[in-house]
Amino acid sequence: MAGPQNVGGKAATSVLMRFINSPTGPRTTHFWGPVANWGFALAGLVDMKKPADMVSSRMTAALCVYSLLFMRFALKVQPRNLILFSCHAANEVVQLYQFQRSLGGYDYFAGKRVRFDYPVVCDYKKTRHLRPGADYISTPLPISQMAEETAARK
Amino acid sequence: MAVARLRAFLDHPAGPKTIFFWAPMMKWGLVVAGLADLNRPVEKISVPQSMALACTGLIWVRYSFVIIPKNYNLALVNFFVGGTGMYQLSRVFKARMEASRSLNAVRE
Repeated sequence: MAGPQNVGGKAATSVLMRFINSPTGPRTTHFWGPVANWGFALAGLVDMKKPADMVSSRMTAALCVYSLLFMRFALKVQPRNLILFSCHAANEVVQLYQFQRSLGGYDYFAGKRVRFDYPVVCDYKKTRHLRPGADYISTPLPISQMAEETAARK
Repeated sequence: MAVARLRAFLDHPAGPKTIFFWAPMMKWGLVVAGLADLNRPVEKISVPQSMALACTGLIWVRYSFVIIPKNYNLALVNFFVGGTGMYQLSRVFKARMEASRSLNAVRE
């Protein structure tokens, strides 16, 4: 029998076939572009377990704004793209969580607020000399000795 | 005449009064931030992330041409995103070829 049959008033083509052949379906770029974008949203999700002092406040703030803009873009573009919208909405939530964590907020995996041993500064690079870790010196040195210290470490 | 062209730009369907202008502009910021990472040591480059960026960038170049309104700025920025991803992958590839070549030389 050629073509879809209409049986008892229900849709002739199945939902799956309608999805596959739709103008924003898996046969078009409107589908695969946003699916590719989910990759970086998933990378953000995986990063949620990073220690809070490894999170860059600047980068997360920039990504918050970025995802907000692209949420609106996804709704306003023709044809409207809800996959793109959902990926940026998810990323927005993740980046907001990371941002508040980088500034000393609540850590879901620890079940309590993040505690830094040093005053929280928005630019985490400035506090590098205070953070514990093999890569960094534990107390700030006078500038005159910093060059020797760096050379000795190399 | 210049005023007319300025007005044409301002009223463009992908012009500065619309989100189709500002979203790609924001993405340029991310590209510029990523440029600082271009000279990262090869061992620190994340291959899955670079592959993801390369694929996303290239797919989005095509996507920017099929959406309405057509967005050349978005196409260009994603071309750069894909380009930096591919550049980092090529560096990793070269370093690994070098490493295997020197390993073979040591064996002989």
